[in-house]
Amino acid sequence: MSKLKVSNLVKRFGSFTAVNKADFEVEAGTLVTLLGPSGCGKTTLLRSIAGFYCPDEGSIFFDGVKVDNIPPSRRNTSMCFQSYALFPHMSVWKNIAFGLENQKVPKAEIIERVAEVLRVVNLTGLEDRKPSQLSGGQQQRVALARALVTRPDIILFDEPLSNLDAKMRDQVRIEIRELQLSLGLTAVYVTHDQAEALSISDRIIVINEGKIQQAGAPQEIYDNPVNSFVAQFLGSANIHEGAVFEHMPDFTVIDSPLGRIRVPKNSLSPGSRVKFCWRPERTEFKIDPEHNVIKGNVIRRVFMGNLLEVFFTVNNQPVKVQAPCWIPDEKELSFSLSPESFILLKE
Amino acid sequence: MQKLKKISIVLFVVFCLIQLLWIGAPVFMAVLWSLVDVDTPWSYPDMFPKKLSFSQWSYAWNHTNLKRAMVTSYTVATLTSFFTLLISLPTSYILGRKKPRGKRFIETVLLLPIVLPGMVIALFVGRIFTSIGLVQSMGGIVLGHILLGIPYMTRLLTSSFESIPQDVLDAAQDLGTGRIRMIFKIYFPMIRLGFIAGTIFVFIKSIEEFNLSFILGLPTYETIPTMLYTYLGYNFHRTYASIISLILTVPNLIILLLIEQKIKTSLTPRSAAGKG
Amino acid sequence: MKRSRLTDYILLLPAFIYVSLFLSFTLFMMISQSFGLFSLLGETEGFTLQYWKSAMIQESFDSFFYSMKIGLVSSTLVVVIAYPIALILNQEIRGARIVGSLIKIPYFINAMVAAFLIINIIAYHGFLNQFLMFLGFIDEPLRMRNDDFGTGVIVIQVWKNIPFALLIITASIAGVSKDVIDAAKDLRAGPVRIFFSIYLPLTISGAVTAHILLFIMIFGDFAIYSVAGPIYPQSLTARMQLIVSNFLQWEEASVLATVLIISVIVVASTLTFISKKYIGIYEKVGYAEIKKD
Repeated sequence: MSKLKVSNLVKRFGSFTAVNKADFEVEAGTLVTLLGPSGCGKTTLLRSIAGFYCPDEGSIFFDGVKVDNIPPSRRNTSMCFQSYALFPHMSVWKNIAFGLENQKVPKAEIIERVAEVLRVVNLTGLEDRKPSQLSGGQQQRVALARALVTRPDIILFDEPLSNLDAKMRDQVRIEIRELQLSLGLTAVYVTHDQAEALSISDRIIVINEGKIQQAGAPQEIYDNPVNSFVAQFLGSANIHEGAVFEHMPDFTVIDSPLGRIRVPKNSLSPGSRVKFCWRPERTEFKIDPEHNVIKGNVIRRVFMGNLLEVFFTVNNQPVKVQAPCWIPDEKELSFSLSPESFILLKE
Repeated sequence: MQKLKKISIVLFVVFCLIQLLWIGAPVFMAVLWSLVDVDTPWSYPDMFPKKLSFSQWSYAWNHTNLKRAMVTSYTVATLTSFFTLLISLPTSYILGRKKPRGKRFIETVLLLPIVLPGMVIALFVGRIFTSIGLVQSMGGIVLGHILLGIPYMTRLLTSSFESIPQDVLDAAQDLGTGRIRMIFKIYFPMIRLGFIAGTIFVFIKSIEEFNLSFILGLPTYETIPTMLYTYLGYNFHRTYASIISLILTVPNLIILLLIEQKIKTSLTPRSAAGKG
Repeated sequence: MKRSRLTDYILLLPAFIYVSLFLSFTLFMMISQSFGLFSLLGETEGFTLQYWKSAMIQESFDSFFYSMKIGLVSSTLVVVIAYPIALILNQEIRGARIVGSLIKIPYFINAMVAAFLIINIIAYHGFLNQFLMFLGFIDEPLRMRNDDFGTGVIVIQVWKNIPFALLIITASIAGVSKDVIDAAKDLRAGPVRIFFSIYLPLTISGAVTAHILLFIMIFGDFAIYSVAGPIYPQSLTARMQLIVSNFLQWEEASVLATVLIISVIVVASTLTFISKKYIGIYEKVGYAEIKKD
């Protein structure tokens, strides 16, 4: 049985539907990310799981038990807030012990468990500091410790890294993932940062305008986005429309702005409209004549250090590709794309 | 730019000197007057008194109503700040945390007692109290002072309730905090400053209040300001007036300096709560 | 969910009920008594305009104009003095903080004490007169206390109320983001243009609020008038209080109180209206300044 099940959840604020029929499950010991642009409803979903919002339709189950009518204070979840939400008037130790005191855990055990969790998040020695005397990264770890120490069924992260600078962010992200794996925590993680989502998650749920667009393992979603939103939100993608021309034994031929190209075999009837995308990094500049060869006009080259980003127009369609730095500096260039690099989109 | 900075520094220094005269001279004069010796009067054209002593202080202390007026004033102020706090806490909590409909309107009404002319309120409250037997009583004065304390208290408390980040309250709830613990461990510590500032402010305002005490208390209950009024009016006595003025003012200023220190040294809720 | 909303409303009530009951009773009594209704102590004779007529005598008009004059002059002076001080205190100069808290002192001094403190300075044989005579500016002392114009009262009102104005104006000046000022400097705005195009439009509402509140307080003043005001005319509140305490003429006092409150409302709305018109003028001044550059 899954640790957390969200079933057909709907949450409205007035006439605005923040979450529209969200339906997913989270297995024990995994980290699931809710990924989407700001205002897409991911935080509303997270807060509904914590119990701060009461769903308008649908239900939430923990270990198969419906929790819709249980207030946040009695749900065994712990949340790490974007603003950390530390109690400014309490020391680090008091902050962490607070949840345990609420549960009336014996004093000796509190001391032991707080010391242990401080060791885990590497804050030993800072027990008596006030939150205002800590750096951003330290405050973040206090928030994490406070959430961990109560041993929640599910730990919820609301954009926990967004107040940290870029370097800290990478470091804390790795720490969170390692802790989650080593302690076997079940976690739901909200972010708008695709790189963060790809690197930390067991599963990603992509959300837009209150609706789940796609759910799956990071690689799976990256390689097979179902629609143009997912394709563009995770990594970058060139998206084109075309029409099916004919079916060959190993592939399908499509008429498109890039010319007549071969894409993976599908079962659409010839003549039907089709939308497809491809990733810039799939471009081959050592041209393989067996693949689709495309010629374009170079508009701009941007040096990125390890590679070049080159902007083309192909039959007046803008196209962005990644290229090795050795490619010749010419106005017109050719590159090839394997049939497998094209992904058909549903919409 | 440098020149501009220089000009403003010069202006600032000049301003400080004016300030010193502006505030310092009147206070200095009052202190001088209160120290004039009983037997050696200070009169025109002496620039300064010939002899200084505390004789007038001990005389005023022993032979006027000063002691009684002080007891009345401080009792009234204590009762006033306690009850004002009690009445204002629930209202401020709702205004600060729940954002009820009509919040602006309610806040405006709560400010009215200090916006409307004090003597008008005093006269007609006196009129009503006369008909229900509340004039010439300490209770009447306290009731009136509560009315004037509510605007300050609700404003200070409401803004300290407002400044608690919602995330912190959510976090506490998420950690399974019960209602009572929520009040004593989260709300109270976080509004502490507003709480202290409000109580002291109302206390001082009550000590200073004249109109209501004048209409509701005299002649049975004399407070420090109404006593000052008699020594400035038909019983004009410059030395007693100086003494009473100092008694009325100095403790207030000391209290205010003390809390200003305290407010500065204690942590502010915002700094620790992160940017969100 | 419903029950908690009901609880919210109940919790909201205590202070609100207290204030609104007190004030509605007070204002109701005031207005109805001015028309001869609801006299609690004497007999009620029914609706009449007689008290409005009998209150409209020369003494009342004189009091009204005296209070209006003192109110407008003092409150305008206070704002005009406090505004530049607030600008200076907003600069990052060492010590601005200490001066900022020292300057607040008169706010916490009782009005009557303030009156007394200043009287000691400006009295006929007081410090200021002696000092001016010593310097040779004047030959004989100036009469500033209980003078007919009310100079003494105005000086006291200014002394007492500058901190209050500073409190409000400093807050609105501090609310102007430093980045906005830096942006203006970056776009080569001079100090004059920064003042007229940025500070003034952004802080004028604070200054007007201060002006209105000060006017209300000074217009309704009793204590300072009674210590330092002219013997005649009296301030409107002092006259009201006299009518009640000496002649027990509650109805006439009610008329004066009603007039007082109506004037406060009229002046407050006029000042608000004028300030809204002025913002346009300030911007024009700022614009003229660029053309000169």
